[in-house]
This record gives sequence, structure tokens and C-alpha cells, in this order.
Amino acid sequence: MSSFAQIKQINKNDSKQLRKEAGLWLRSLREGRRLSQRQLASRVDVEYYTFISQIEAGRGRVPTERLEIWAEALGEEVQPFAKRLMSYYDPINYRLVFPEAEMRHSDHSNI
Amino acid sequence: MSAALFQLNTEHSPKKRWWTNQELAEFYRVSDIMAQAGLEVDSESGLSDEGDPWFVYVRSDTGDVIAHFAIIDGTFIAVSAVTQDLYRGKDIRSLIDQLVERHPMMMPSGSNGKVVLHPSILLTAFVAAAFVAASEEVQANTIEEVLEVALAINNGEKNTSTKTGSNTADPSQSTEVADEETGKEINAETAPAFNDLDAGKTFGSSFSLLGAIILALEISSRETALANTQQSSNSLNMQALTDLYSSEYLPVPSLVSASNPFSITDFNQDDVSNLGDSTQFHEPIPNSQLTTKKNAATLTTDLDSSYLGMQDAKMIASDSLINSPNTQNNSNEDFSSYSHLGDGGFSQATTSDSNLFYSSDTEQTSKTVRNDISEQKLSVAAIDIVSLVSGTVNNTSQKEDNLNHYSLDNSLITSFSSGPVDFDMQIASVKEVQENSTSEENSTKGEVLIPSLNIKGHLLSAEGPETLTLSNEVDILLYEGGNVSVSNFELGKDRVWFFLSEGKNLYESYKITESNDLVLEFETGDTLTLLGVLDTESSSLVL
Repeated sequence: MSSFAQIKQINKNDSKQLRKEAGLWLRSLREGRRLSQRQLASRVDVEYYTFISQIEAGRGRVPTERLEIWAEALGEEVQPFAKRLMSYYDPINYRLVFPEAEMRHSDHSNI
Repeated sequence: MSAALFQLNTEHSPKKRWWTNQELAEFYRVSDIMAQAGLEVDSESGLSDEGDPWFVYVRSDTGDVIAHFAIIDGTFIAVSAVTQDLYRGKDIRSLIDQLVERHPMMMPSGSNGKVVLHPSILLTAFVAAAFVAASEEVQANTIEEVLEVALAINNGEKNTSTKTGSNTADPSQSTEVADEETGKEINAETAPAFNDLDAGKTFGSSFSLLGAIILALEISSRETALANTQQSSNSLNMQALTDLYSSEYLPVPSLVSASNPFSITDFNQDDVSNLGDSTQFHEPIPNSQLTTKKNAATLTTDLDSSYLGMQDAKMIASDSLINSPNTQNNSNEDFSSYSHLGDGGFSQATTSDSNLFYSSDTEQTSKTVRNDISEQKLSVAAIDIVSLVSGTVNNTSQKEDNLNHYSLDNSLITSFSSGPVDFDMQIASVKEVQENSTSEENSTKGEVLIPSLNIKGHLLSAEGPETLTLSNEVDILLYEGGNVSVSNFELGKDRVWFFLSEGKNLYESYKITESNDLVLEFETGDTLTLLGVLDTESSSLVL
């Protein structure tokens, strides 16, 4: 495997892991609010509530344009919520934008 | 003191269930098909907190979900994750029906809604279109836009078209895909997804993606045909084979064009390797074009019920087909007619009792043919030799009348080679049940004859005799190879089945001699000669 392919594979695995961590975090927020997946789906205006399960399983991501409504549904402040998800979904840009707040995978899992 | 309020849900709660194995198999099959087309997708499934199952396809390169399937409260849903097009139905089949309704371009022109598209094709279409829609280069808003673009390209529609010769700039896409698209045209009016695209890299990349979607559909349709024919290879199940011929397993539907007659004689998975060149596509023949039904029997065949949620799916084969040189007769009536010969009477041909052909309930001797064919994908071919030589047959109408009496169509040669499956084929001489009903004196013209003919099988191989004289019964020649001359072959009654190795054409060429012999020449140099087969006098006399 070429070095480029290796890096790509590592990034892919990292990305996968980060999304799983994001899913776990979102799940913890939902459960903290005692919301079912169906209830959350209703709040974020998603027709198929299995989407919530999918996101919490670490597949896919909360759409950027839906971050605000998601934050509200989960009772979170929008900016910290978006910032946190950015660290999972777009870690490279996150580190560029917030160099002082570089987060590791383990940091997320401890929350 | 506290009180808890419980809401009593009196509504019927649908039973939760996980995906069936068939459903999962179909999902994974779509993944495989797309991978073959260069669209790498991962998949993952899970359960909601209420126990409803979901299944998603994820782009391998980006990790983005492109399509989401679920059963929510007993209702199937399919969602394009990017465009959020959502379909609901009681099963996946109904989802697919909706897909067709929303995207009528997917239906072949002139089908009048009678064509049942194979679920795999549409499922693949949906996922592949979602894949394309998820591409950054393609600014599609709906799945329909993607499909319209893909199908418009494939149809070569020419309105305000923009010629493109750009190759792919996306290294993740195969160059074959891009090459396949080179030179094709895109209808800008029906391609809103591409209106805003810049020329060059993005454009070429988009086209390569669209090429991929077309490939996915093509592969899907091809595998559909193979999957069905392979069922027959296990037990020589004639039902599956006849289903293949009688059903409308279409390739990308709008690829079917009357102006683009097919030249194929078999379905070969190896053909996939040629997909880089669109001119070499060997498209599965829409079976409506394979069928000739002089008896105008409307054939209703159950499609494979193993497909997802596919219940009571029927297709109606077209009965308005012609004997063109590019038209193949189906073998449906071949099989059914044999079975009815044993019934002692002729009734409407169906395929359900085709196993009578192999019935062991016979009094005559039977011949077992061991046929080991290795490393082959099942291929099916049928040749209408009457059409082939129609220019030399003078008394066609009379022949056809006689053919009708025997409930035989006018296909003379049916050929199929099997996959890597060893099978025993028993050619039984079926004893007529009602022996007392037929004599030449009692038979009146215009009356449906009750066949009193037995069926005899003859294995023709390089090791066998070089000459063979057929009986006046129904003779079936099983040709494996060799130089063989056959006399007394009667058009319309006798049959030739070819068992050929992979890669061999049905025949290399043919010629008709002055003595009305038909000589089929094979790539191996072998020849099969049907002596005097085109001697219309003798044929008529026999019939």
C-alpha cells in the first residue's frame, strides 16, 4: 500500500471512529433529555426516525444546515453544539479554526 | 404523593422484525453490482430504539450516507439521504413501483405499463442515483434529475445537446467508465443537475459518475438474467429458463431501442469486461423481442417470488411480436409443447407443467445424457432458424399451419449451455396417454391433432456416429460437437439443443447447399448438417 493510500486509510478509519463518537455523544444528549429517537426526529423535523438511530450509530452526520434545530431539540447552545460536532465531523478544519481547542478521540469519549 | 400518567396506546402495534435474509441479500447484491461499476459503497444496518430495522449505503470514500432503507411501523421506506426523496410502501416492491411512477423515464418506451422491471434493477438505480446525487460535482436536487440525466445520456437524446469528449478527471472512477461516456450527448434541458457545472474536470467527473450509474444498471440487469438462469442449472429447471425468456428482464429500460437491434445470442458475464466500450454492450434481450406466439396465448408468468416483498407480481408477455432476423423465438413453447405431447392432448401452453418433459412416468426407454460443463457462466441462446432461412422456404404458411397443429412454435433450434454444474438430463420418451385417439384416417384437417409422437433424444458428439437418421417421432438432437450429418430432420417438430463450451458462438456461420441441406459451421471446425431440411416437399409430407 502506498503512503498516500495508507494516510487515506488512516483518515478513513479516524473519520469512522470520530463519527461513532459523535453518535454516542448525541445519544447521550438525547437520553439525557429523556427523548426517544422518534421524539427527537419529530423535533428536528425528520420524517423517518430511524435516521436518528443511524446517526447515533455513527453513520452519516447531522446535516450542517440542521445543526441549529438539532441543538434546540437537545437543549444545547447552538455554537458549542456546532463546534463540538465539527470536531467530530471535520477534525482537520476544526484544528485549523480552533487550534487552542484541539481535541483527541479520548477527550470526546470522556465526556 | 405523586402520580404517573401513562398513555395507553390502543393502536395496533405492528410487529417489529429484522430484515429477512432475502432482503439483506438483495441489499448486498446492490452493493456488489455498484462495486462492479466502480461505485464503492459500504453498508451498515441497525435497529432503532423501538426495534425498527434500518439499512444504509455509505460512500466508501467520504463516509456519507447516500441511501437509507427502513421498516418503520411496518412500512418500508427508502430515502435518498442527500436529496431527501422519500418513498413509502408496504414492501420494497411497492417502493419500487413508486420509483417507477415518479420516474417514468425508467420505463421502456412503448411498454404501456405492462412491463415489470426487476426489483434489483430499480433498487440499484435508486442507490446509484443517490450515489451520484451525493457527489459534490453533481448539483442535483432530486433523484429524478440524476435519473433523467443518466437516462437522457443513455438514450442519446438530441435537443439542445452539448457534446462532450472530456475524459474523467476523477481518479476514483475508472477510465473505462469515462471512455464509455465519451462522445455521448447530454440534453441540457433535461439535465438541470448539470446546468451549473463548469467545463473540464468537474464535467468529466460527473460524466464518469453517470457512466457508473449506467454501468450499475447494466450489470444489474445482466446479473438478473444470470441469477434466474442459474436457477435452472441446478436441476435443469425448465421453469426458470422459461421464466427468463418469458419475462421482461430489461436492461436499463430506456436503453432498449427499436433502432438498435440486438445482436447477442447469449448472456455472458464476461461481457461485463467490455463495458468500457458502449458499442460492445451485449444487452440482455428484452424477452418480448424473443417471443413469437402465433397462438396468441397471453402468457402470465409468476416472477421469482424470492425477490423482496414481491408478491403476486405478474408480467404479460407481448403477443404482437414478429419474426425478424433479429428476433429470437423463445423456448417457452418448446418445453411446454413437449410436456403436452405426453398429455395426449393440447391445451393452452403453460410452463407450470414443463417438468413433465422429464417425467419418469414413462413406459419407453429413456436415455440419460451426462453433461459436464465446467467454468462456464450460464448462457442462453435461441435461434429462430426458420427466420434465418426464411428467404429459402417457400411454403411457410403451410408449415406454420402444421406447426400450430402440434402446438409448436416455429423455432427450430434452441441452445443453452450451463454453468459449472454437473447435471444429468434425462430425455424420456413420453408415452402417449391416449393411444386410441389418433390415426391418420381419423384425423381431419383443421382439427387439432392429438400428437401420438414419442420423443427421442440423440446425443451428438465427436465420439459418436457421423450420420444419423431421425425417426418420424419428435427427435431432439443434443449437439455437443463433431461433424455430424442428420437426415430426416423435420422442421417444426424436431429440435436441436446445443451444449457448447464457454466462449463458443452458437455457430460461426451457416450455409444452405443446393440440395437444401443446412450446414452449421462452428468455430471448432465442426459442422452439423441437417440433410434436406429445407426440402419443403418432404417437410410438408411429414407434417
